[in-house]
Amino acid sequence: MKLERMQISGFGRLNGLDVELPGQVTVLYGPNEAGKSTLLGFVRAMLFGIPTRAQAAERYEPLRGGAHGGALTILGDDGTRWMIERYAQPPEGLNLPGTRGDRLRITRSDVRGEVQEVSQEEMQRELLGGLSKAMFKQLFAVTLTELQEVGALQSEELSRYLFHAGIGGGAAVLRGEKRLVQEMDKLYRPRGRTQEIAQLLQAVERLEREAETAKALLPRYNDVLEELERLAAQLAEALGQAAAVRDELAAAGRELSRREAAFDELAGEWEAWLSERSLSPDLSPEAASDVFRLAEQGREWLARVEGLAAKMAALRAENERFEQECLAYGDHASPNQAAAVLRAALAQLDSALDMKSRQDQLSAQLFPLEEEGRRLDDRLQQMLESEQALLAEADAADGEELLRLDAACERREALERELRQVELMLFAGLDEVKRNELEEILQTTEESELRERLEQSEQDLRQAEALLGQLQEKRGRLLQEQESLAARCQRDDLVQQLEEQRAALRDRFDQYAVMAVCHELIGRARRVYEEERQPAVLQAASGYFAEMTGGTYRRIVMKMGTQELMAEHAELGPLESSLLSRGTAEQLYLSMRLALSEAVSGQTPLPLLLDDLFVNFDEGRLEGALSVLRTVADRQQILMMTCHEHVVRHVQKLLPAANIVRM
Amino acid sequence: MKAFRFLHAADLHLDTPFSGMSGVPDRLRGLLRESTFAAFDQLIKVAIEEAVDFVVISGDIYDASDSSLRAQLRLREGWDKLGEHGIPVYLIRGNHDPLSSRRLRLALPGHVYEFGSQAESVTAVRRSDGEPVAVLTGVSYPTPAVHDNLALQYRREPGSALYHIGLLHGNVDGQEGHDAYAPCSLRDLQASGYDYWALGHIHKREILCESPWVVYPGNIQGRSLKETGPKGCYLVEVAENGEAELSFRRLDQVLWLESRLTIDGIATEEALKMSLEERLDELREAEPGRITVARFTFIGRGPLHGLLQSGAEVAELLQELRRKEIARFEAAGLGSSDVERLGLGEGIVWLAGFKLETRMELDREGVLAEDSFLGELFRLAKRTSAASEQVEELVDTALASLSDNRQLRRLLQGLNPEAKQELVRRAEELAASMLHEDTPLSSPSPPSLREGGGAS
Repeated sequence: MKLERMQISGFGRLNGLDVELPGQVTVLYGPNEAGKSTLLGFVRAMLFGIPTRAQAAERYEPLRGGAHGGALTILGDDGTRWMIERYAQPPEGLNLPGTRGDRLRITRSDVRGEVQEVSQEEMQRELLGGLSKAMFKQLFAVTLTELQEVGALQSEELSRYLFHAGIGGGAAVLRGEKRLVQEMDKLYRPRGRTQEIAQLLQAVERLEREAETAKALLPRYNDVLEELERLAAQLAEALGQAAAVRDELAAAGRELSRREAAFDELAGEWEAWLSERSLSPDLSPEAASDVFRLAEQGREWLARVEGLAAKMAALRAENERFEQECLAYGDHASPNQAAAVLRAALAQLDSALDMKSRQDQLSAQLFPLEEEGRRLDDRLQQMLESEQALLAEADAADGEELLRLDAACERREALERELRQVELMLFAGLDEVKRNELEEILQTTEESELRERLEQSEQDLRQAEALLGQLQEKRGRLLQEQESLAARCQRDDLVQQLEEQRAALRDRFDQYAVMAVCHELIGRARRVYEEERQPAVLQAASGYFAEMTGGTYRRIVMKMGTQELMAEHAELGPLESSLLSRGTAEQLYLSMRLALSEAVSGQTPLPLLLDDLFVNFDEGRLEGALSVLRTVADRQQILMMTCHEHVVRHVQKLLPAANIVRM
Repeated sequence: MKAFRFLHAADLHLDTPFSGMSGVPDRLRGLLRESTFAAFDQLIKVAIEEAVDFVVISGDIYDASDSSLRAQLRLREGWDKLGEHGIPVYLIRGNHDPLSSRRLRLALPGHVYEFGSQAESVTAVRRSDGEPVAVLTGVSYPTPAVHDNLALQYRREPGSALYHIGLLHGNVDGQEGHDAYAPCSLRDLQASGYDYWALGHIHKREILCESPWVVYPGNIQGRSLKETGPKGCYLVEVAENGEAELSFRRLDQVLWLESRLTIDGIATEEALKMSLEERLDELREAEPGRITVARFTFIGRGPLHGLLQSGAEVAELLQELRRKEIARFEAAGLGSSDVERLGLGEGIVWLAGFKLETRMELDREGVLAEDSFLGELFRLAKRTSAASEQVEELVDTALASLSDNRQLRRLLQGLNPEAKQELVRRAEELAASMLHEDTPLSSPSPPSLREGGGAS
């Protein structure tokens, strides 16, 4: 199809403009702000609709207000003439169908002159071959911006950019893919640690670990309960033992104090007794009995001594008497007169003999007296024997002892009474076994040993109490732990958090998956192009490129699978696109675009809109480009925009049939 | 027969987490976590208020794999409360809480009867006069997986006039979506001579048969978007003539809901937001005192499709609506840090997320015929989608880099063929919105490509 006429009521800076495009090539020449890009926008708006306010940049609201829109006249390949009238804001007085949005009327008049109104869809289908707005924009407008991007790209990107120039909408694919990869990288990278998915994985793993430890709460609780049960048993046992020991201790203590009291009493009595007898109070009973024995002996001796002394005294006295007597027989008392005395005494003897006879007489009388004496002796003996017997019975040495024993006996009775009482005290409440035990302890041990045992028991008691204290402390701690476990399980919600993180992970995974599949699809679609479409495009592009470069470069080749284009230099062979000068790269780009538009337009060639492309082209390149455009113009209408005079001049030289419209 | 009444519940799943939720504020998480317990407390309350003669629970009371101490302690509390009112409990253990699993060391109180691993029968009495009214037979799972037909062990006592109730945790006639444990057929149950089969295991409430009664009460609290609708237990009143009347008692505190919203005819973001807010208000009023967790799926065609594809917009919409909800329940005094029990006046609606099933205002057929890159892509996708192995191959190749990580591998393996097809479809949509848009060549801020956040 071919654009014939543009009637612009109001579009951007353009206002009330009427441009006719008679020939195949039209150059719109005007200064920079003249509104050339606006015209491009106008054409698109007319064909596809005026963009909404949401796309203000392309909407081109009329700067001066008023009507917004215009009319576009198009000549179809079959000679049909189409007129599209479209207004976002119609001029006054003009009535067009449509209520919301655009007012639109499309009319078609065929070769016979019949006029018919058609719908947008019909127009797009018939006139544009079903081409969409995006496609149109991508394919049939080549702007300076695109071209300049060639200079802006880094080497690998450049190559891909050039490659994609041969694909309809390739730039969008390239951009989209780049964004896609960026977004994917944010989510996930193999072995990466900072991406979202990596972070979520870390969080999930951490929570899983924490949740595992939290799972230990229940068994720990059970363990605590078990320990408490065991402790309770231990405690009961320890308490029982402690009680028993305490009882034993008390009993022993009581007995000891009793004994001490009794002892003190006895000791007091003893001392009193000793002091009564003027003995040293420190004497023990053994010593005292020794003393008594010695006293007895002493008394015996004394008695004997007394006896003997008496005897001696008596003898002496006798002697004296005898002497006296003897002396008495003499007249003067001279010692030697003793004999005399003695004689005298002898005389006396005679008298004594007389006496003897008297004695004999008396002895006759003595016999019954002796019998009497014997009888009395027997009796005495009996008395002595019975005394002995009594003493023997009492197991006493003499009467004194007997009396002592008697006292002791009474004492014993008293003590036995006490003992019974004490026994009651001691053994009340104790069973047979304990009784026997206790008795045995009391019997078999001496006081010092008992004291020792008492100390030992006290020590045991202290130990037992200490143990008890420890056990109770432990129990307290365990009870606390039980409480805190119960409280903790109320608070922690690790499992829920874990589930949430898992859900977030699934979500991100899902997002990533969609993007990854999309990426894969794009790659595969591109391969289809590479294999099926690019070759044709490259062929055409090579032709243009060779012509544009005046044969310096022969063709453009593609490295399969790499999206890299290379330019085959006539002498140097294939060169990577990154090695090309900027100008040459631009030419390559343009060649690709021109080839693409040719490939896609197919049966219905559509106008090609070129927006001030040749700004940076030197003369040689400009001529090369224009000569190519001449070839293209045979097939497609070309609408060129420029603000440079020299371009216009070159066009006029090389494309004399071109129509120059000054704006 | 004598008249009596009992409560039948199952699948309490105390303290198991909710799945599919993310971005939940802490306060709300506390409430959600409390919900299974709140439902359990409600069960106890209903039992006491209705003065039932006993309570029957058919398994899966908690998840042994969670090893939750809290569940055990709260369970004890619940039993104790029933004990105070003299209501006995008869329970069996299921695949999630088998006899072999770990549990609290303390012995069960006297009024709670747990059936062992061999079928046994006990006689239940009426509370008012101690008269025997029913025979209960039950079997607990000894291990997590039981594949025998346990129903065959249940035999009615010949000549008994008492109402026979069978407690069974298992899968009748292979219900889908649940493991086939203790499988049996409806016919087995019907032929047993029992009057009421108190079943458990299937979380969706269902009465399979009325004569005899074969009942799945469903779980008492839904835990994900797969368990929607009101949840609770059945109150069964048996009359003297042996006929039973069942009434459903609702116990749940959190309701799960899926809703669809069309974008047809909605031109602006604000309009969409308003439309959503209206729906939220409706849901809130419908369930006062409860939390509704809702997921909206956008469907249809409309000008907002492109906008929605940009994940940032959807995520922001979600965040804003959630923020408003949080402000609402903070104002209602639920913002206090010590929220243990649910006590809501007004309902809360929490948005689990958005799902996008909108289509572009795109002439799909037109694109397929178009001689463009997108057209090529669509044609390629269509060819691939026709054969499932090709879909597999595409998806596996695309996601090959994810197989490095164990967790991600697991997620990969979780994708079934339908999910993979869905991925391809969504990838197409994404490509279309990327390549087909009328974005000017130098757009200031390219839209983000991710779909709205939230649950999938």
